[in-house]
Amino acid sequence: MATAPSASILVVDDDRFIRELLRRYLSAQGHSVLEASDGDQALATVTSHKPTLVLLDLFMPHRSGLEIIPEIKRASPETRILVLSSLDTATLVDQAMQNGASGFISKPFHRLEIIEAVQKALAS
Amino acid sequence: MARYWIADMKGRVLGPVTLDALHELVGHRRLPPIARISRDGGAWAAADTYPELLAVFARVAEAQRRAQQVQEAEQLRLETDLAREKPLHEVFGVPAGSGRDVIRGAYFVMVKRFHPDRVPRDSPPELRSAYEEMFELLASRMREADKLPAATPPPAPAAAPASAAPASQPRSAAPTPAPTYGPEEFVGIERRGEDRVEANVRVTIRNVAMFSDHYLLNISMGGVFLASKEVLPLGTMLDLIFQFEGRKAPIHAEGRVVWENAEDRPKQPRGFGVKFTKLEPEDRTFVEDFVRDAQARLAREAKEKEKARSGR
Repeated sequence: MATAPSASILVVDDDRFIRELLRRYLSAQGHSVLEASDGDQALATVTSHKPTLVLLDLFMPHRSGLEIIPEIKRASPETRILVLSSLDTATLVDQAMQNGASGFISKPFHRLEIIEAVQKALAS
Repeated sequence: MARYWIADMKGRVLGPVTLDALHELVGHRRLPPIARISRDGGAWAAADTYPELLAVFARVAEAQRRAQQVQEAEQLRLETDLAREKPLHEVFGVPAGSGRDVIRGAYFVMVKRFHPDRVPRDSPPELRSAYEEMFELLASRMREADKLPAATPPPAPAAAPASAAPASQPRSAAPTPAPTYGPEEFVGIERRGEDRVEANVRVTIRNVAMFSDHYLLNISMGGVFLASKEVLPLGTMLDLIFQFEGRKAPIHAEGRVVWENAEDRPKQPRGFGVKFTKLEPEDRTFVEDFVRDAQARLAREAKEKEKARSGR
């Protein structure tokens, strides 16, 4: 798979360890990384920065990731969304994809899986 | 169709979801204990407010659950034995002749179900070990697949110029360690605090450029919190040695720093949380029994206090 050019990627997760780890993976690939710890912060950052890609948790304080997917798409239609969640039942995956996500990665995730999924999402 | 928002003890929210989606999440043991429920994402009520949800969150009888888990363990063992002998493409359900990248994509989809973090804490040992065996088998078959070319070879005769050969797959410039696909390489589910109890156990850390001793502040079935003036970076891998009172042999474990508290607070002094990434089965059983006993003792003490208070 061809290496995608560097992109602006927003990582949304209430767990700081996960954000830190994803930042490390993505920075090593040459991407610039933004962070948000809940749905409200995520929406504000998408509106102001229009990132190329959002890595989005579903179960978060204040507002669910599931709920903000359509709002992210409205605020920045070109932004692609990859969901990262342990809540990976068929109905929820379908709902996330129908709401506008372009991919779903189950937690726990592996470094290589993130790198490959991000490359694919950026190349699509 | 009715829609619900649910919130756990930490205030994390999921919604809107349908009744069917909730059934599915509970059935697959994907949800933590639910504290509040809403029909509009704004007004919240106790989890038992909505009669239609009582059946969703009703606990399956202990005996029935145990029988299901033992049956699941037996089935899993059979599947693991079969997967040992099958060719790679059959194990991972991909077309024959698939390259490493295709197999790896299928592997990641398949392996999550068996990750130790996905096994409920109250699972019987036979189910836990059946999951571990399948996880390790899939990891070893994936290491085998890593020796294959990255891409699936094209089906047509090789009319393409030499420069288009599969060997020209671009590689990342940054050197990264080869994956082993061990459970510690997968991250994303941290269950800290769910079953934590206070304890006074001596812990020695021996691989952070020094030997350091700590008295453990609290322990759960998945990890420990260590009070320390020095806070280690997130992700730091540690070798830990525990010396429990009343147990002669020390317990050796490996763990990863998954959170830190850089400030001293009354209920949580400065220190860091470590998640176990490797613990021998008999040591895990010891830690689980230790935590369960402490929880039972706390529950008894709380009950006695309550009794004394109401009897006054």
